[in-house]
Amino acid sequence: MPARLEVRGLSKAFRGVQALRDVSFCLQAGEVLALIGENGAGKSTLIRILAGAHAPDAGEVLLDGRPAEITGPAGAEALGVATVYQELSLFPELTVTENLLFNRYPGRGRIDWRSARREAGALLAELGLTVSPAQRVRELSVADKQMIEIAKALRRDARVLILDEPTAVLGGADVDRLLALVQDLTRRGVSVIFVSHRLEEVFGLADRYVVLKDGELTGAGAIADTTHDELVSKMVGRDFVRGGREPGAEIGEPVLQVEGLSRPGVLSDISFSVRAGEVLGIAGLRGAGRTELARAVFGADPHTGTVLLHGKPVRIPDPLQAIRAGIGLVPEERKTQGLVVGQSCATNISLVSLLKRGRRTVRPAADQAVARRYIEKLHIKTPGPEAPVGTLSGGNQQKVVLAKWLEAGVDLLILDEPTRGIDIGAKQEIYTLIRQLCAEGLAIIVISSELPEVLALSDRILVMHQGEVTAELPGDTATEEEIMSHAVGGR
Amino acid sequence: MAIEAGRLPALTPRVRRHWLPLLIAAVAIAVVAIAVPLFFQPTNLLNVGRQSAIVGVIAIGMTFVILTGGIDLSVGATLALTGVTTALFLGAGMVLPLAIVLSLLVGAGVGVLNGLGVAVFGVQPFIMTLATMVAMQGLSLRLTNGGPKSFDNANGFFTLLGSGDVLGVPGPFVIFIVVSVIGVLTLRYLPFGRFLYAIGGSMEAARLSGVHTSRTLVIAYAVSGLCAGLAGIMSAARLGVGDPTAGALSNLDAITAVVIGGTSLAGGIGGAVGTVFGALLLAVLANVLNLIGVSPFDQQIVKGAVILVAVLLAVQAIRRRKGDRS
Repeated sequence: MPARLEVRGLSKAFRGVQALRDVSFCLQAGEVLALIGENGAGKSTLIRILAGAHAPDAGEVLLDGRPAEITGPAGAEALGVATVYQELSLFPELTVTENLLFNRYPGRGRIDWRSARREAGALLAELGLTVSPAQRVRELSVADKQMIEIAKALRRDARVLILDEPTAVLGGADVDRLLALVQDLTRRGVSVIFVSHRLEEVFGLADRYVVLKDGELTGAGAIADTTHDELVSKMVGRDFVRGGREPGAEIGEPVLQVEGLSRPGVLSDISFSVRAGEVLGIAGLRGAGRTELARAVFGADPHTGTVLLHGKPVRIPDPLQAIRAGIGLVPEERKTQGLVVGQSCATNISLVSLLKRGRRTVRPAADQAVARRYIEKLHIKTPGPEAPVGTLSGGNQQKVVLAKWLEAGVDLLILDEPTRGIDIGAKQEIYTLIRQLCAEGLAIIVISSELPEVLALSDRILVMHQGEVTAELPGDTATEEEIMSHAVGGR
Repeated sequence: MAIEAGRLPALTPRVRRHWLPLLIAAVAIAVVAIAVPLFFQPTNLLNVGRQSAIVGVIAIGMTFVILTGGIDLSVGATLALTGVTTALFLGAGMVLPLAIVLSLLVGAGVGVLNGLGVAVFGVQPFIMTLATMVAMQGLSLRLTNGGPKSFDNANGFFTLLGSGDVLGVPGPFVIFIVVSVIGVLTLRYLPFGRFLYAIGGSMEAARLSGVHTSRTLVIAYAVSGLCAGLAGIMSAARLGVGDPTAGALSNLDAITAVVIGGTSLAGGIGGAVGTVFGALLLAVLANVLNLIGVSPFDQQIVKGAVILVAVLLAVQAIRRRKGDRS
């Protein structure tokens, strides 16, 4: 019997960066395939190809032995391939019924709402969901929203269900519910591709695994034949360097001390400090409050609590005060928060220093000279300082954001997911730069979802869970497992 | 793209960025020179300059607002209002400079109101300025009881603002050029200008870079109101009355001039140089169509087509700039 899904030699490149190279694997009916790999390993690209969002450069996909041309999301749906992305695609203002049956309402010509509600109710009951069909999706918990997405996929007779990190944002009990649901689905013959960073889930749920690293397949097989350590080494594929401190770099006085920082419903009673010449890593799952903590310290969001800079209490009501006090923030969303993408490199680099120094006029020639200096110093690949920053690659864009803060002059630099969506080469350069800055006496906070990154860069690691700090670990002895156990709430 | 880059190696990025309005202007001039020799008569050219002035002045202010990603629909109503207040102030025996300054303040005041609504209360720019537009139209009609308000227009200086000449150049056109130069320099050389682009490019990125976004927005709308106020005074000087129904469609003409000039309605990209070309192009178009005897109805059809083509070209240039290759 042919496999439910077979992938043969898939390759895909974006702007010359090879995101996926010659990947092949099979999935049988009723099986769960765990797709694992670090961020940027090519998992999303693979999923998007199967979902019809990207066309592969080479290779083919077979469904039940027949070559399947997946043209667009609608094509994938017609073939019975349903995808539940991390960013859910529900309509928050519509009801559960409307979301479940969207675009496929019962009735001819006009919508037969009575049978729509009945059908939605039956679907919910079948999956053991207790939400009301009349409820607005906005009011549901994240876990319920995810279940609704899955229910929607099932209604469309999905034969292959792709779940992209469904458990990343869920707490313990919800994870168990979701995993039970997935198991239930496999008993009905649905094949599931399950993306997860949590290996314990993978071992509990999956029949087979596929490991991707830098776009290539580094391992595949039956879960029963492998071990936790083997998967980790296939994912990481390298012995990562610890500490990585520049020799002779001294840790100095505290630059930032935070005491009892809170924001109702988001952050509760957070205290920590960072010293000059020190890298503080902040780890945690999505939604743990890491970004919110950074934004609060930077004055971008309202908060209560005491903040001391160089030992003196300060009030930071808005980002401008933070900038004047010597704090810089490299935000999570490079294109919407870090940069003004329509503007040139030079304009972006000079934006903060313009404000901080209170300059009265703009001198384009001087700005360009400054930009040229950083283009050389940080190896920014750009046609020139006047090139629109939107046309650069992700890594080079991030270097422009860093240049902006270096030009402004900072004592404390907060980097939120500094290497997200950046290719390996530029990543290494950014790591080197962070270490250099640290050696020059800057205090640095690195927020990252990639544990190897946190471990490689940090002198100390703060772990967050649901708006609280659940652990503070020394950077040179902490392990991924240790961090993860605190990140999920110390289970 | 590769062909274009290869063919234009010597052009600076700035010229390449503005090639579109320049090209359109060049083609338009060439066509006109052949088809309508009358166009290049000095008196006609000066007339075109005069006709471009009022919309041009408004459009420069509008550029500030559109660069932030906003829009100002109230400029036409503000023009009418300040024309009326100027007439009322003069009619009440006020000295001319004071009447002008007060009317400019009225214009700027409407802008500040718009800015506060948008920046502080979070009303969408379209709705906020629509509301002030309607209210200011009503206020102008109320102040004049619906009819034009006449005043003693004997003052030579005031005539100069409307229909007079400076060394042979129409007064209104001189004002347009002065306002344009100030606008271009402000956008290019003052931090405030940079902040407008930053806000339009990404409000959040601007805020996280320390830009005081609400203050900057209020000033942008105030500039737009101020320019509309100036246009209202020019209009009153030209008509010799304060007409509460003047400039009814000048908001749309101004927006058209800005967009034809290559400024993105989404904000963050464009500038006042393009707006000057846009305003001139509109005036040239109207003038030429008049000269060759196209009926007013057909003129509108042609104008619509020209706007569409210019904007389609501009959209592509803007997309390239944002690095959007899809």
